[in-house]
Amino acid sequence: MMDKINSQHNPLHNSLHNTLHNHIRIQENDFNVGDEHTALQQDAPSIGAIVTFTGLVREFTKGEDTQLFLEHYPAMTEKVLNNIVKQATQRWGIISTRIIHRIGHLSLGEQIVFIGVNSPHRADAFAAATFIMDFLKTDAPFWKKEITPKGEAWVDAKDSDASARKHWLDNTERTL
Amino acid sequence: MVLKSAKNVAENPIGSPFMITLRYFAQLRETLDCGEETMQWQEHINTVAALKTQLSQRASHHTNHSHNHLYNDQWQKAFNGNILCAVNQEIAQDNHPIQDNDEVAFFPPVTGG
Repeated sequence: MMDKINSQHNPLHNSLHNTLHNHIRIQENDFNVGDEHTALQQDAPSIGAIVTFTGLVREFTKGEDTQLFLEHYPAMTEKVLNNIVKQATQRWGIISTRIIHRIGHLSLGEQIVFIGVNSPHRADAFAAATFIMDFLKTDAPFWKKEITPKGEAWVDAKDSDASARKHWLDNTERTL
Repeated sequence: MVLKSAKNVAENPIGSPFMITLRYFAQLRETLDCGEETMQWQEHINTVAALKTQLSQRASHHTNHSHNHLYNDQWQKAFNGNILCAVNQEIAQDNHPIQDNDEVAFFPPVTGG
């Protein structure tokens, strides 16, 4: 699923390889960002930087009461997310990662996804978190259905997500 | 070679036939009214492309679906559309081989996150 990525030389990677903690959860229940942040701190108490991202259910159609239904392909999700984390680990000096993705029925404003990355340096933490999120969007087998009072429709994949992914493969500038 | 012997086993009424598992997700699952099924592996459906062709030509009497005419049309439409395939949980292109016991999944482009 993942293309071969041009790995940058990463001297940190070898020395920290054995201590990397990767935590992946797919669940219907909500999560607590504070708890996840604490867990990342506990993975490596003396480390320099933690970057986290939380994705929320947004208003797809203005003024509509939007709900989402999310389904996924469990065995494949696990493989793909593990592979994404592996690629990020080879590319940047990261100590640990936490990924949570919710499935089932979600309401407007609810948390859907969490990415947390722990690294000695903020640049690596920011880049790895963005990389993981970009590849999760395009490669992980999740599907969203939008449910409004007017009806329901499966959400279409976006070209902008595919182009965000492509930047990492081309090593061109990633614009956010 | 597995592919050679498969036909003999499939035709042997005593031996168990070679099977593949098919899975469908999201709007494909809804359109086809099917989430998962098993299918007998046959020599002529040994690639993703061949399996797609086979499924798109599915006869209307395949299952107990009540709208046979509509059902047949839906399979053809679904497999002519923009769908992805995974063999054993990894994205596979049309020329990817399909063998006994494989899990083959079809689904639309993903929209998580």
